[in-house]
Amino acid sequence: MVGAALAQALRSNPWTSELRLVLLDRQGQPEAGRSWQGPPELRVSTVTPASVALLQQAQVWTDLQPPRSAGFNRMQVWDWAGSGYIQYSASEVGLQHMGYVVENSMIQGALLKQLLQPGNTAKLMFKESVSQMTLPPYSQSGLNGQSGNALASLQLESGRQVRARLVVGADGAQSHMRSLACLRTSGWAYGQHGVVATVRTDVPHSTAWQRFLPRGPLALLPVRDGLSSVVWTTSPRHARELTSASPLAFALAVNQALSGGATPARNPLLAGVRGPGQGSERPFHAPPQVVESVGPSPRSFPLHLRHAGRYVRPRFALVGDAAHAVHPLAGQGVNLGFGDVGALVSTLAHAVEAGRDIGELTLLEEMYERPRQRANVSMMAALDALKRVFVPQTGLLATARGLGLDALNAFPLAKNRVMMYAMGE
Amino acid sequence: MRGQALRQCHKLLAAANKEALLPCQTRSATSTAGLEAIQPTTLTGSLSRDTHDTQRSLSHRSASTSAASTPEEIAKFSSLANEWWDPKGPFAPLQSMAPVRMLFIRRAVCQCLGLPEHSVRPFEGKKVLDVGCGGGFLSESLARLGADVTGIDLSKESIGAAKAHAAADPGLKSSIQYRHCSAEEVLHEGKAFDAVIASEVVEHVSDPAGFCSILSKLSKDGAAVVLSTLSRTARSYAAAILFAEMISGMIPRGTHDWEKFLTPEDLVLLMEGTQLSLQQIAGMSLDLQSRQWQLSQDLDVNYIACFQKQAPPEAPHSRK
Repeated sequence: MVGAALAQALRSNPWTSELRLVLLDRQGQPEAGRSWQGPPELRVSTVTPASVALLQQAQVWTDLQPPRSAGFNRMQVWDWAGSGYIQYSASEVGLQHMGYVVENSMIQGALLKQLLQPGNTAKLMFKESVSQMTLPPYSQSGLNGQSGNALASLQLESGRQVRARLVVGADGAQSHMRSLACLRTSGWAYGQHGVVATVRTDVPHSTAWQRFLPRGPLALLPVRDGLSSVVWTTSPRHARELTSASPLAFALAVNQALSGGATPARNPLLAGVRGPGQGSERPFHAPPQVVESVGPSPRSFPLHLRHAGRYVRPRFALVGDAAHAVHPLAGQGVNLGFGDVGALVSTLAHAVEAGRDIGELTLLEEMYERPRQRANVSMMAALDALKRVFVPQTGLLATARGLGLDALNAFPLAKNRVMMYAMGE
Repeated sequence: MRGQALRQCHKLLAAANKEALLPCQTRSATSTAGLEAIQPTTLTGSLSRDTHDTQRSLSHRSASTSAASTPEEIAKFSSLANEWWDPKGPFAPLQSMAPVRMLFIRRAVCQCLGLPEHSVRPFEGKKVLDVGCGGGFLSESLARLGADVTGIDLSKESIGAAKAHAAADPGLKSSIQYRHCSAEEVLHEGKAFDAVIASEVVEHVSDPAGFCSILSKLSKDGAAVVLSTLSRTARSYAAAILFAEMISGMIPRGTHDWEKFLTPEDLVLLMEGTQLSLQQIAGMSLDLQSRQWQLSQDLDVNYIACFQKQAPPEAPHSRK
């Protein structure tokens, strides 16, 4: 998805549109511009306004906007202990929507449709993978030219050979290209699984609901056709129970998780605290009731945090999950990937304008790697901290957390900053 | 007379600097107005006497009458030739300034020659001479912008490094011709170019006036001549000699001779005497936050200027 977005964004930028692109995919060719009949796919992304801007530049947003996806204009976050809640609304920042929930396969299909348009010079090769990669060395000192500046060379499984000024690894968290480039990662498994499902609610809604439960956060997000998507982080055992439950039992479990526990109330400690101009209290909204799970049965996958120490080498760059796999909380994974795409496209556009070599190490380090590592690491740290703060449920920490949420709700300025951050601004 | 000429010169520099730094959107609308305010022709006239004084005083700084660099100057570069392209080596500062120089060159040369500025390869089909090309930082970039490049340098070793580097990239091989020779030799072959670039060269030559006149003769009428160099100010002494050579060791000691540096005024006066009139000028400053070089108004240390070759008044239609 991120690789195709990069290709299409490069094609749409006037400086980079003439670069010759070759796309390799280990998988077979997916359906281009897939129809949006039938129940939504399980894997969805929460696309922020910043990512929407990128998809617009890549000329695919018209194929992705509602009714093919669902926008949400409100976000409500609360916890199991019921000591506080936080609400965000798009109108607070003068927007119609805070974000959109789009099926991953829909994004992929829209990008592929553009890439397959007649006249598109990008060369697509499916069911093809790289067996060997030769990159130029880091230092060119003492080397008399030739080898220091050589093009990257890829040996493909099919026996074909590709030479390139720049190779981009966009092959996900288990990136094969990353290991071919000898770039190391650090990270850990959360010991948690993510469960995804599509459900029907009693009433359609346009809010992103997120509740922090003892075993991890549960998100209920609107998707197309008035349905909702569940993204539930929980223990591996509970995940197994959920994925093998009947559609009705699954719905009951989600309702119990969303509506059980304590009802959030204003924290009495904060009774006297009010932000300036904050006359009326924003009431807590009860989430809708889930009626049944629909479409494909719920699936689960283990969660990891993984980050590459370096994103680039001479003539090589990593983008998206290949560089940084994050906790799916808040759906930021794809937005970080689109952020990488935006930065890499402007780096290469600058290179073309200034007549630079697009695979030059200094260029990639200074204009792509450094700003993206800063952005990605701070987002990963924020998501990781949020998750760690919310998981323990007892004692002082729970009260402090309730206090934190409530205090944040009362002070519009601080809250807006958090919201802008979550919206990828 | 000298004072008045300098004031005029400052006005011209200010206008040319404004021109170079205008953002793309607004530039087309205001460019002509900005330059018409200063009459370049009358300026040249009023400066002419003074120009000769300056030329004389500049050439007096060196006993040599040759425009070429001295053997010692050439040896400085030859000894480091295989480190040209090392991003952490002695030429790293030069390499890091190349992109911003190229952005200036792209814009200024496009405007001089009336080329499409927003084209990916605006210099397609244009003959460009890179004088003192060194390892080929600018030559390679000029070739990527479509130019048919001739890169010359007096250091045989630098030319060797430049050739080897370009040879590894199949896109560059056919569009750059590197030669170990002087600008005079190219001139004697009767060649003329659409653009002549001399980046960080004029401060190394023994006769700047003679050198500028050769650059002018190598240019077709209407051609662009771009020079970048270091100004002769207290700040450039601090930055280029004290800091870069003595304190940080970023570049080798003895790379520069501050006495040979030209201020923008020196350069403009030299060039006006050789039918080259200033079009744009900009300083280059390091943005400490992004660690990127940017074009600026500050002409005190590093600066880059674009001149246009005027047709000689006695034979306005003669072209090489």
